[in-house]
Amino acid sequence: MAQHDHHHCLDLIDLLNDYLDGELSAESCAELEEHLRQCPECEALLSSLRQTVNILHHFDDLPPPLPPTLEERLIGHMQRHMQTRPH
Amino acid sequence: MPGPIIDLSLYDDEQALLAGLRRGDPDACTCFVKRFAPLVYARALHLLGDADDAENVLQTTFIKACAALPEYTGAGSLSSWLYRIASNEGLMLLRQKRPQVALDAVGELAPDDAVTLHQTIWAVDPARNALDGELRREIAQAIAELPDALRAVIVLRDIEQLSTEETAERLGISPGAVKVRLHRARMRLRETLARYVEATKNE
Repeated sequence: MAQHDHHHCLDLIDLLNDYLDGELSAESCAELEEHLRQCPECEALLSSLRQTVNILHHFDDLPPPLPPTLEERLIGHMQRHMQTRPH
Repeated sequence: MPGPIIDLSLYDDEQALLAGLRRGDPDACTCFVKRFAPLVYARALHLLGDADDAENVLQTTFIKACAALPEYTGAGSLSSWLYRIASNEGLMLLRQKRPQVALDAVGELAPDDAVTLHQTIWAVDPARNALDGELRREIAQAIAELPDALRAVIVLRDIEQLSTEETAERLGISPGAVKVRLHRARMRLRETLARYVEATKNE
């Protein structure tokens, strides 16, 4: 079956990110979705890729605090800078 | 030695914070840093992959922002304005420091090896696990190890969540090149995560 041809999977892998980003044409979307219904490997790949992107989207939701010495340096640097600039 | 205790809520309001900064109030300056510096630093670190470079970008960003305050009109949020300065500073430093890896050159990247399809069933809750310290370190490390050209695209496109077109414009490359690099970067990070998920599953 053509859909399970390994080369066909490799061709479609290039489309997965456009699919996830909603940047795929309707025609290519339909072709990919048809393939995904029949190919558990590509479906699993899409799922893990989707989770990778989700993790990256949330990666900076709660950035770690600055190292304390860095925060002190930055505040000191800025306060000196503000004192010397004309108001 | 811990710094002075400051009531951060004093400057919760952006207009009050701006007014405080324009007056040169040291507490406003401290609040400004405490509120926005962690994200500026985190993003600079992702983009540059080096703590000293990230600190450099952090300092320059805040000094430039203070200098530009008189011209800041308040259109859009203060945070977006600041992150935009930071991102421009980061990209500029990346170009200066690594001219050998031109961010705008096309075709400089060797094609990836045959795609490894690391099969694993993931039971990961991204929102929860992105906060998990160990996973966060793994991803940060994997991002830091990407070639500059791939790292810049993944940071702008997936972490800062700019559009393909805006990413292309910021990097001076075509939208098509953004897509190719994004695909490669995501596939590499997916592999790192797959290995992490498999390793922790067996613990």
